[in-house]
Amino acid sequence: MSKVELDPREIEIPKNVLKARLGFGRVREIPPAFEKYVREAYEELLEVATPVVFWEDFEAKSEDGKISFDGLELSGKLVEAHLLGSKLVTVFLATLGEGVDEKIEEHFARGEDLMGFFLDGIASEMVEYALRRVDATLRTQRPHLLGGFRVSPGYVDLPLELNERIVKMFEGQVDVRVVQGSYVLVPRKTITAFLGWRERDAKEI
Amino acid sequence: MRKRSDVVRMLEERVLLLDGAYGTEFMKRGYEEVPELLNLKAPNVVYEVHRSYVESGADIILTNTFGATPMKLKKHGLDVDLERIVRSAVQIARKAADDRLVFGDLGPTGELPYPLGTATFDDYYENFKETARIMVEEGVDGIILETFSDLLELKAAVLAVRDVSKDVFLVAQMTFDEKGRSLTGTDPLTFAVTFEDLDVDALGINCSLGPDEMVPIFQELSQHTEKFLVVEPNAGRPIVVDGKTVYPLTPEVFSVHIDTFYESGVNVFGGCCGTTPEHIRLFRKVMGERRPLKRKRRKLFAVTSPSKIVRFDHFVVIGERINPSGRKKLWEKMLEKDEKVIVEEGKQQVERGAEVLDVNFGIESMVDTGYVKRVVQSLPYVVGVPLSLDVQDLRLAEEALRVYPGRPLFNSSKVEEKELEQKVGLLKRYGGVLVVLLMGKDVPKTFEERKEYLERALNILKTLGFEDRVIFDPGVLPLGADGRPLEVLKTVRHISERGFLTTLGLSNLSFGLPNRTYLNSAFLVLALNEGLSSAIANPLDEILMNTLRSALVLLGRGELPRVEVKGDEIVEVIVSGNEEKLKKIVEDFLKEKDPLSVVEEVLRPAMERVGKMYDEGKIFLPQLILAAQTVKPIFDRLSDLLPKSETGEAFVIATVKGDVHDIGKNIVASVIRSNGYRVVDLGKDVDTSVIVETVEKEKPIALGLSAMMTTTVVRIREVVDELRRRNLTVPVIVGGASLNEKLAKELGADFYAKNASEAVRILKELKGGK
Repeated sequence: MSKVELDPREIEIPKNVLKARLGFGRVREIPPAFEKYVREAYEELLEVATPVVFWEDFEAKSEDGKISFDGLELSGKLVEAHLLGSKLVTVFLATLGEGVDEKIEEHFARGEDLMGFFLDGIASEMVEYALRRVDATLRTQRPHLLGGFRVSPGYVDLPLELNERIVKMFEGQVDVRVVQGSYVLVPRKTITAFLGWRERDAKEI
Repeated sequence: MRKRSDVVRMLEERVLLLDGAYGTEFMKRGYEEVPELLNLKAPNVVYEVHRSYVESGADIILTNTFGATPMKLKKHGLDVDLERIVRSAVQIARKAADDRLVFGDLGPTGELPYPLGTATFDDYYENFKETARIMVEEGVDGIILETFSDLLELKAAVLAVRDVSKDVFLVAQMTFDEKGRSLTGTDPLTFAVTFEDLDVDALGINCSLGPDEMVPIFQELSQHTEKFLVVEPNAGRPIVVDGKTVYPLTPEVFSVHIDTFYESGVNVFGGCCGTTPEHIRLFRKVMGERRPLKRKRRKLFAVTSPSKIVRFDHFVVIGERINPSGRKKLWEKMLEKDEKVIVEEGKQQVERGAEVLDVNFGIESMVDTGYVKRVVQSLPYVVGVPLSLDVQDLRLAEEALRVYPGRPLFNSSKVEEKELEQKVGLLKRYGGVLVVLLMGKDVPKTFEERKEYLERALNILKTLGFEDRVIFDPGVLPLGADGRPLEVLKTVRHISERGFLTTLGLSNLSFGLPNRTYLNSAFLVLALNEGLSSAIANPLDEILMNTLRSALVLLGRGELPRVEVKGDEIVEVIVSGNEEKLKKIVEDFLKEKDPLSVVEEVLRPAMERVGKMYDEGKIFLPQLILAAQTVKPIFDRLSDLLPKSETGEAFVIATVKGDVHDIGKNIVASVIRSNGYRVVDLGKDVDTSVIVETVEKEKPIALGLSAMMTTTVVRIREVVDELRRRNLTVPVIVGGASLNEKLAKELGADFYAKNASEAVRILKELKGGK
């Protein structure tokens, strides 16, 4: 198992991604009247977020439309499109920690809905970009392997129940829980994913 | 040369990687002359750069021919060498490419179109055709038209390439500034809608912006086209370091954006200015081997000019006045080839509410073809709006459609197989929407006759695969010549009910009669009531236009010209989050009104107007949240002043058991509270029993349930069942990312609200029904 703790200040979220996430998708710039709130929310997030990304590689075998690794057997449309045929599968878990949830709740409890909303949106992007950063680093460190598209439980037909299994993989390393029955992750700014790798052809190296 | 279908197949299989910049690479090697000249003077250098991209992992390399067109080379005195330059460029690229694809690269001429500059459509067309011919002869696998900043120039280039070969893969790309506009005012939506009609394989965006700035522009494009998508951002905005232009984005920073473009549906990713082989090497690694993601196009019915798109999702006035029929002076000016008079006529109509201009040249055989082409090319640039080309002669119509800068209306075709086939053929080639006039050799008088023509038209259009690009005109005949307007109205209703758009040549009705304005206005109102979608009418007729506006209001079609909120002080104060000023306004009202009246007559209506602005896209979600947040303490204060019996209806809201996502629920609660309801917010992950007990105790106007995950929406059914078991008939409103109207009903909910303002609307309806 590998782990990297990231300085939240070093996680770059593209400003247009942020703009869209915060509800300003149809304007070119965040209106000046709101910039101050966004800046404040960002600063607060930098104070409370503790981004950490865990991952582990597993040898994988594909057969009859299914891919298996570490006792898991996955199938379905998403698996067929992005994981099937991979020799290796990396399982990821990224989280910003409990402090972010607490801060968001504080804002809503105080009636500062806009700050709560902004903090929530920025945090959602921050955890995604933390994971992307590690993903990109792994790809550059593995010149003989070609990484596919990262897929997450809950999307298309990949069951959300897999969250339980992933959390178990990193048990004892990180304080992430799964809500029973719904498989929602807590802290809320936590994401999981699978990434499949195949050997490059000689000419692709 | 690979066939067009081979390249299509490759793109269906995986996302391909394009190469990077050439100019900066040549400069690094000490070559600062015209890059295309290097194909003759230093082919080994061009080969070396190509190789560096091939070795970095690019799937497609571009020939070194960006400026290799007659008009561009002429500026350097190199036009005589065009043939040698282009042939050599393709040969070098092919030699370097191994089994990679070689696309012929073509950039714009740098000349603006008439009337902004002097270039005509034909100038552009001939320019690109010459280079494309040589490229195809040399066996390129595709042609990429990139960095175009004008719609007409790009259209001319597309048509030129297609006239050279129907079997070469073709990419059309524009470049946009940070505001999402090209140099001559085109936005990505207009680009997508216009080029969706044309025979190109892929649309794309390149240059001018870095990847971060390009994302929203690319996403807008990707939502409105089914064609393959290409993107080539610059490596950031250039900066000057030690007197040299440098593109600052490192491969690592640039490649962070690949996922976003991938998720937005990109099929070919590459880099423009400042992108080096090192960038491409990293892109290859980050991109890996990905299958393209499927996209779904948002369909919209629209016509375009370079700088304006007019959607037919509201009533559209098509100005009728550029028509010399009965206007001797205008006819004389047309014969004199006067363009100014047309521009003046156009401007006046646009100022008075026309969104599209119908252009009719009278007796077409007497009008100079060059004049028609100049008017059709220039008017959309000067006046801004799209045109309806009211041209009957097929040859002249083809000339007009060809040089039109955008997606026009083509007015019109009768329901005759040969005519429809020919006119649809023109529109398939040049782009546009057809007005189909429901008449053939005979002019129908009755609804039944028109209905027959409609069926016949639909059959033909279906065979031609063109039924989604037409507007039907039932054909208005003069009242004085047995016009039978009621038969026309029946036809409008019938066509509308069949889901098609309609238009009418309104003024025909009153031809030759007195009091034309009143007749036209009355008929327009009646036709609106039958579902008419547009009319070719006189926007300078004030009575007609005011009647139209009023009728639209009365019919609740919500298509009034947009009214700004200027003067609505309280709304401005609320939306800008100015709590202090709002307090002051409310205090002033309290001097004249009791607290309940201030809530019911001032604050609640103001918040309703804010909600409407959000629904209409005039304000954004953060502004709605800020508005709710600003109003809440004021409502709280007013509630304290009211007797308990008047503190507003209760509304209970909760996120269901197992779900801890409560941002959406919080926003809904906040907006509902700011509309004067007493919100009992039970929070997240709430037990069914707690929800039901609270409903029993509070007797709310409604219960709101939020569930975001597919695994938690089923809890809604549990709550509904428990409520019904206890005979609690409270209406249940549900919302959340995994829900929709159908699922909500299946789970037993009474209403589905997709956002906060919709929830408020539902509550208002419930309140009204009480």
